[in-house]
Amino acid sequence: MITTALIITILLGSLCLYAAGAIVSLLLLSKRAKSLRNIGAHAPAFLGSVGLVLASVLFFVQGTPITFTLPSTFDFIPFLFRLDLLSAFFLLLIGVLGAVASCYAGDYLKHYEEEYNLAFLGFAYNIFLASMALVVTANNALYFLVVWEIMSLSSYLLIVFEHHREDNVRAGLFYFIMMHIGGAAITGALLLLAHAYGTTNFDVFRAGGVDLGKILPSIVFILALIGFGTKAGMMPFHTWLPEAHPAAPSHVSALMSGVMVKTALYMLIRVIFDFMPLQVPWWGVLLMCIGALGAVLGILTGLAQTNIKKLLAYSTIENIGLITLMLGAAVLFSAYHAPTLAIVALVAMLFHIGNHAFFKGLLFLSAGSVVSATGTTNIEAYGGLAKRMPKTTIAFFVAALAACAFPPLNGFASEWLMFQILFTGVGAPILSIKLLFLGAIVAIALTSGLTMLTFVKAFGGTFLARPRSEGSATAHEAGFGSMTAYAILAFLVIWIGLVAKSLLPLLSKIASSIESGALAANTVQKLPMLNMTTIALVMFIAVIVALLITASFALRTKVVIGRTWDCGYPLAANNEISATAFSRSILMILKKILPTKKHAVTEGAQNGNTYFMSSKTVTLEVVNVFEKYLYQPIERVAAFLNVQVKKIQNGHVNLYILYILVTLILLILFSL
Amino acid sequence: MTFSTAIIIAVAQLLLIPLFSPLVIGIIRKCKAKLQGRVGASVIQPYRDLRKLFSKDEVISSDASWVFYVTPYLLFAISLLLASAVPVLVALTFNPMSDLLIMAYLLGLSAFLSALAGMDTGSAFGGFGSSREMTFTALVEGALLFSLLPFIFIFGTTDVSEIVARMHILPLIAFFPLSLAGIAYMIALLTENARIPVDNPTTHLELTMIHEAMILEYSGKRLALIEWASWNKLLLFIVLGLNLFVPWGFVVALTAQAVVKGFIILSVKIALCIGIIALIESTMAKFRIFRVPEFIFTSLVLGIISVLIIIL
Repeated sequence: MITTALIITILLGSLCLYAAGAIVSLLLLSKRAKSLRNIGAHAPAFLGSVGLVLASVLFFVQGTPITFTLPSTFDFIPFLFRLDLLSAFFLLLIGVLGAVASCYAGDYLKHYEEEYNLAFLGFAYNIFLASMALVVTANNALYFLVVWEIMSLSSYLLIVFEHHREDNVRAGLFYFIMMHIGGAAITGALLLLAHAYGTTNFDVFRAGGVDLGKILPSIVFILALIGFGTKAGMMPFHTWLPEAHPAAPSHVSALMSGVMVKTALYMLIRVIFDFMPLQVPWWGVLLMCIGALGAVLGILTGLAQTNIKKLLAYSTIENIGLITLMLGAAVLFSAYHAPTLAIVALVAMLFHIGNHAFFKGLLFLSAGSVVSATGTTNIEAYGGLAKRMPKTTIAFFVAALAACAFPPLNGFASEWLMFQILFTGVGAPILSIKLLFLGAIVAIALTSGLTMLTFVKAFGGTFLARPRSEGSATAHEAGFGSMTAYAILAFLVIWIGLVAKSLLPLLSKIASSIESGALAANTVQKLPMLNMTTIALVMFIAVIVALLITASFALRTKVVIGRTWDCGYPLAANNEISATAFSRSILMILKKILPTKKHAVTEGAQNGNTYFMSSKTVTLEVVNVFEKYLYQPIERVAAFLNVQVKKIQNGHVNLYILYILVTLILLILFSL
Repeated sequence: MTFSTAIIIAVAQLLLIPLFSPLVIGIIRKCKAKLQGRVGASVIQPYRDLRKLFSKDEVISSDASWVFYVTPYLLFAISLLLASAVPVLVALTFNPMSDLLIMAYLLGLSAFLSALAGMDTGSAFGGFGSSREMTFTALVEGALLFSLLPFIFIFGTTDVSEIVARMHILPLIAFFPLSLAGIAYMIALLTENARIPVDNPTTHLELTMIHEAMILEYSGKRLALIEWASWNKLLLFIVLGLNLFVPWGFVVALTAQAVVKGFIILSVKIALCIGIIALIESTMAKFRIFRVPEFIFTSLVLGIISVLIIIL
């Protein structure tokens, strides 16, 4: 019998498993236990994640929201939990990706065992997974802030795990600062809400009934957008993401890209739809603009990268942009009293959140295997890995096809839904909204084309042609744990694409539980969706027909293997197109949108004579517009203010005594 | 229309499109030859080329991986899929593939796969061809979508079968914005099918190749499949464009007389379109490569203008 008690037990059991994993990791700190650290950290994490999946699946079967309390040592921070449809959806994502990443880590971390102490990784990893599960089930504002902070800190520890590399430490510090700026904004938003409702309990926020006035909801929205947008990687708060995600070990990158940024979106959905009674149109417009811009600029910067993990991080920014676009559309529809359309937009958003988690997870895991096999993250040093790492190649290929949204995989299903929403939106009666949706269609069309280019570059540069470095020529295939992880994610990517139509009713149930304006009974059963299974079947038949035609016409021909012909020159590894050159054309064409910087360093053969070159290094980079025009001016203003404030402390004790006297007089006057 | 009729029509299209596409290419080449003052090869020469290629052995690079081996079959399969999905004479009601977005993404998939195959052999020409091809595909995806968007907004659906079935109810005045979208579509056709002014399909200078460069390393039956697939794609683009932008003569009620009449009218329309393509190819020079994006942006802008006229 699926009772609430059973679900609560499984959920708490998973959390205890995570705690056990963290404690066991710490116990294995000593040098003698080196070989046990990997399994000691990841086996409990795996089991805990499976528990989360089980709990969420059981919850979907059962259906009604569950609330419970755990005894808390703090008077004012009660540990309130709430499991409803939206939380269960995110728990499912956390569980699946957590299990897959733990399975992968058992194999991947073998080459870290000598240099670093995996006990710390195990501790931070388990706490990270547990904190994500707690974030999506938190039901109290202060408790939420505590577990949010734990999530930020544990992910920081994971990012700086490879602390021997200075870039990672810098990236970690940048991440830490951005997370706390975001955290400050979130604290502001939640405390404002708590002040308006008089309590920190989310259930009271949900029940509504308090008139928040005109200005307060907008202030809360802006603060929530800044706070959660920073964590999610929305433009213009995204600059930490391409630094932090590559710095972490690959399975952690997969988790961060796949789930952690989505928890921010989870809470943003809650704040906008659950906690505030009415949605305002300009929120939707703002979200759509941020989303569209983020998608275009994200992928444009991504296709210029030669660090494969940075490329994937920028692809995450692009997809978060698309998800934000859908959220904006949902808010806009809801604000203009079209709840059915809002539900469809939310369905598209949730669907893409899930799909992106799976294909991005697969991309990061296979990229991680490549990085650990070759010893570098530079695509220019890869090549020819299709022959040395065949299964990783197939995993990356499937994930790349899904990322580019090709039918019949899951990326296409959610992209199709997105297009349908935008086409519907163009039918709006208001001219500016029409034009907004039209602009969004231009943005999505451009990003889908650019994504295809990015993944041709990523896949082709990494796996095809000849090896361009020693590391690639001697790379070894990943082990059994990685293979299992690939198989699970690839299966999900393909299967979700095929059964997309049957998954939509569940998603619409989740969406209509959030969209409080709609009649709960009016759940959209007839959501538009193509019958992807039939399409996949037809595609398969077409391939068979192609094979038959060839076989019947070309029965007696044979294949001879020879060397590639390039006008008679002996081909070396550097005759292939490099990843930098591949993206040069599109970057030159789109220079007006995103400026590029190119510089070349030539080394002369003799006496520095550059006419006889011994080597030439060309770097083509995209100018980081946000850093240049947004962050650096803010930095300069902040530094200037700091210098001015420093003048208060000039070292003379007499001045300090004067400060004390003045403060004392003011306090006495104030209390009178 | 019953399910069995739909299946018969889909299979018929699947057989007829690959059957006639070499003839269409042969006629284009003959027209170009006549315009350029040559006699030109016979119009059935492409059939002879296919027969020759299918009977030849292949030489495959030792650097190639499974992507190279598998791509031609996938490209041909995609062209067959589109052949059964694009409404040629009759609107297919049961076809799950007849969705404009699926078609756009399948075209993107074929560009993706051929770009990977071009990079696979590690030759410099293939790599550059792939880079240029993906650059133009990235831009033309949007242009193609925008040239088809007016129909999506007029009829409120992305199902192309439904669109062509209802085209006959449009008044003549509606064709003013659609003609702008038609020009945009023509530009997208020339780009996607590697015709002049974007790419010269008959060039033998590797540095000027885009589409040809990616398939430079192919030989024998795989080359036959890729060439045939690109010819299918051209015929499908022409047929789809004609059925959307010049829909008179499309079969509305399924009777034998209407089908025969429709077939004759379609042949005449295709012949006219072929003549226009041959004229464009013979009278224009190929664009310098960084002028092609301006060409594609023109298409995008024309598409946006026609959409704005319709929705406003």
